[in-house]
Amino acid sequence: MKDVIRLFGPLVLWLASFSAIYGLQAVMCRNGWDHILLIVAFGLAIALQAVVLLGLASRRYGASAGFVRRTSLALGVVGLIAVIWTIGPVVFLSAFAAG
Amino acid sequence: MNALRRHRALSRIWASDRSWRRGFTTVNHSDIGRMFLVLAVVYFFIGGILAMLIRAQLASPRSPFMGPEIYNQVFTMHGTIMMFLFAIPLFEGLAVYFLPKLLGARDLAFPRLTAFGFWCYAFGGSMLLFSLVAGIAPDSGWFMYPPLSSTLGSPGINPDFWLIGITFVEISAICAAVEITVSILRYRAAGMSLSRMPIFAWYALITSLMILTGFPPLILGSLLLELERAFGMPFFQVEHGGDSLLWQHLFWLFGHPEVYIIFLPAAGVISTILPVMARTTLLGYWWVVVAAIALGVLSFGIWVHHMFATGIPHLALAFFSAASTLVAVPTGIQVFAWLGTIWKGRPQMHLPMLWVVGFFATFVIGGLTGVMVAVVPFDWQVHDTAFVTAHLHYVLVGGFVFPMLAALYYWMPHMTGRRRFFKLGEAAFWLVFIGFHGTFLLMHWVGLLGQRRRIDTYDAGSGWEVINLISSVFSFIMAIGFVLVLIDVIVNAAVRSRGPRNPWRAGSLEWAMPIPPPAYNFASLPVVASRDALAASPDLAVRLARGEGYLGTPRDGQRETLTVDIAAGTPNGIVVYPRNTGLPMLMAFVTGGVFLGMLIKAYWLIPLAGIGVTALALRWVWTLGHQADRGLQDAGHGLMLPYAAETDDPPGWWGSVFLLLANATFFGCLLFGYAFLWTVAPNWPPPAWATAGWISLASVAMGAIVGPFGIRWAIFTVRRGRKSAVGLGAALVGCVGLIAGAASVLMSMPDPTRHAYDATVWVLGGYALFHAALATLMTGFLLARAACGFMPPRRLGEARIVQLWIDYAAFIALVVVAVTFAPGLLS
Repeated sequence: MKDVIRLFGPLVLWLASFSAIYGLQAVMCRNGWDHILLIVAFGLAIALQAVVLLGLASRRYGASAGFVRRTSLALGVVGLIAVIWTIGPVVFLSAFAAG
Repeated sequence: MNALRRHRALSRIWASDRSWRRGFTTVNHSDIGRMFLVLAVVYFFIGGILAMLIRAQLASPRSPFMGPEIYNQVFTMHGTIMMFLFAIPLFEGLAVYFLPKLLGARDLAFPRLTAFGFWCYAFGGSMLLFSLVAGIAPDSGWFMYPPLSSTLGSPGINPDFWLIGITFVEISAICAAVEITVSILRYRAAGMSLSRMPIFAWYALITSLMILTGFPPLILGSLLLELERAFGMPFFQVEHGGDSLLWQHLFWLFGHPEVYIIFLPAAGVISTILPVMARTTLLGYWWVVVAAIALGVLSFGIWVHHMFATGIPHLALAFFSAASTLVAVPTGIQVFAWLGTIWKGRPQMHLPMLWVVGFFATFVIGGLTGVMVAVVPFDWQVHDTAFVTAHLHYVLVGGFVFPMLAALYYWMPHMTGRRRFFKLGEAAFWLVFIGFHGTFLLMHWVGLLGQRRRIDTYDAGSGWEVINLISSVFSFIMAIGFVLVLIDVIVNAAVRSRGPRNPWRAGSLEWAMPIPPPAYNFASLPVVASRDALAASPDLAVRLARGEGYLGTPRDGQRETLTVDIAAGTPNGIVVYPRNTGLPMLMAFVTGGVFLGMLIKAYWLIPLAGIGVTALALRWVWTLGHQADRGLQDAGHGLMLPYAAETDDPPGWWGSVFLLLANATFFGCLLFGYAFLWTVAPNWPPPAWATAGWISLASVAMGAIVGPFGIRWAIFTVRRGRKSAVGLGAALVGCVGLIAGAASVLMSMPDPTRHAYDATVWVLGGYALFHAALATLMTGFLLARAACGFMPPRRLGEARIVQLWIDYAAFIALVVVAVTFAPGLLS
């Protein structure tokens, strides 16, 4: 089970961060909170993803089997890229303008 | 024992019942897989006939062929049948039939569950089919947007058939997904580590996990909409605190992953067939695995790209537009790996390869138009036009139907043991390929010219007439092609020209058995040392028939196979499968009573059927197990293994874990819906918040502590050879506490029709109550099992399964009480 979590965990974390920040944006729009909170959340998401990646690379939490280790590390990198690419717009766009 | 005697003995043990009973009592994966495949193909042709009716209607302006009422039913049922009754069941059928053969096992993890899933599909599908024949089919489009699908827009029974029938069918999908996931992780050949797993199994694993997490949002949405339609709970009615956009979120939380749930198995087929046709191995196996996992998870972050035109904020558009473009990367990696495989090998243009090439040409176009509609300004221009219809057909037909036809021609010799005699298949390919592109390439064009999707007619002089006429002509050419495929299959099955065992000279395990395959698949179970085991050891089939693998000697007339550990594929248990039984069909039939009661508003039938399902479920699990531990058994070659039921994590434990994954996703979506309505829907806050009494809080707190503690205490005592009654009794008391707490949540809101908040609290309370009752039932069952001596020290699997469910019931009861009463306490 641990290997399954190692393989799917990094991108599930991205999905959780992505959904949470999307939800946070909705709450902020409703309550008129400061945009900076989104940028902080973005930074936190990157940090979490980096921690997971480091964990997967470590001897203690990473997989011992070569295939699972390489695959989970690659997916950890994909997760980090996904966070930056998909949540990055918070830095450049206004949170509340309607489409 | 020689090979022939082994074959006879195993055939006797694994045989399905004879004569008419076979179809109803078989639990063999080959039988059930075939039944899935045949029924899915029947639905494909029904859906295809509906498509032809649509094209006949649109061939000319102001066509009198169908009125709007019939036309609405036709296009709704076309989409519904193709998505829910054809594509997903076809994947299930393919996986159910082939996975054990590809993995080197004798059957899937839970044969009775496979059969139950099939019958749920058959009964649920027949509900929808009945509505079509009776002229009361769903008519609100296959994504059933309220308020069009609510009682305001559709007061008749039509949408109820969709909501209830599809939910019934989705039980089948969840069953199959649990089955496939556990089978791939635990039921493989000895030595088949994750890195040696067939690429199709990787895709099937990812797809199954996606079904487990992708289908619950739709099941929840269907439940909420049906509750609104039947009892007036206003989840989607703005004036009472609901919001129709909630449906769109729930639907597309399912709907977009669904596209990948359909595409990924097809990609698995391509990754399997292409290297064989190119006489090489798959280029970049590891890259393909990484890309497939990435694609599977990333696809859950793009559901809102179906909602770009709903007026959501710019930033949210940017999130989902970025995520939508991102999925092109792993898709591209797979496409380039396939192209590289062709480049590396020496492709031979057999018929399966023709369909693979057809897939490339078609799917890449569909992918590119997908990137176009991921860009928000472009999507606003083409939203709800025929351009989108064309795009989705390129993706789904190119990305699923063509690969499945490649699979049909690739594996037909395996399934029938015959060689193709007439060459109708090649003609069929060209008719379908040309017909498809003639139909849908033009549809992009007419969409760009402004033709809306789902219109039943249009005026002369719109500029769409010629395009539509040509599109319709080509659609009939495509239809002729599909009929020709059917004739080809029937003719080749009838001609009975015996074929060689491995006509494509493939290296995967399914060809290391007699064809057509016997009921037991492998006379003895293979040991695998490479990804292409048959290529590495060409005489493998003969050696397995001689009994040189594991479990080559039948024992006590039992149906046996091996389980392995997940990563390395080291054998760690022997599974004994159940016998043929009509129980799955009967249980599916009685389960249908719950849905039928809801559909025809005969609410008295629901508890009656519920009691029936409970009784049958108890019978189902009671027949498993032994009263004494049997210790280590000889698996062959001196390998001594325990029966899987005597390990701490038997297959049922794994099945429960993945069922709970789906269950938790359902609960998570329910919480999302609650938060969405609270945050986004107008007319909030509600007239009154729920208030908590100290008795309800205390009973939930007691239940959440005593229940999990009691079951752990019971396991602890049994492990030490002592009686478990005290622990199980405590667990039972805890579960009753959870029931009381959940009931108090329900009673806190007496009128669920008043506001969406009240209705949501009812659903939350009902969900917690259901799980508390389930945990109580399971604990009571365990007490009875312990009393009858079914819990010797090594057989703790059942107790550990119940522990999972008690923990879950306790967790959700705490969350439900918190989210229900916290707003009232805080305000």
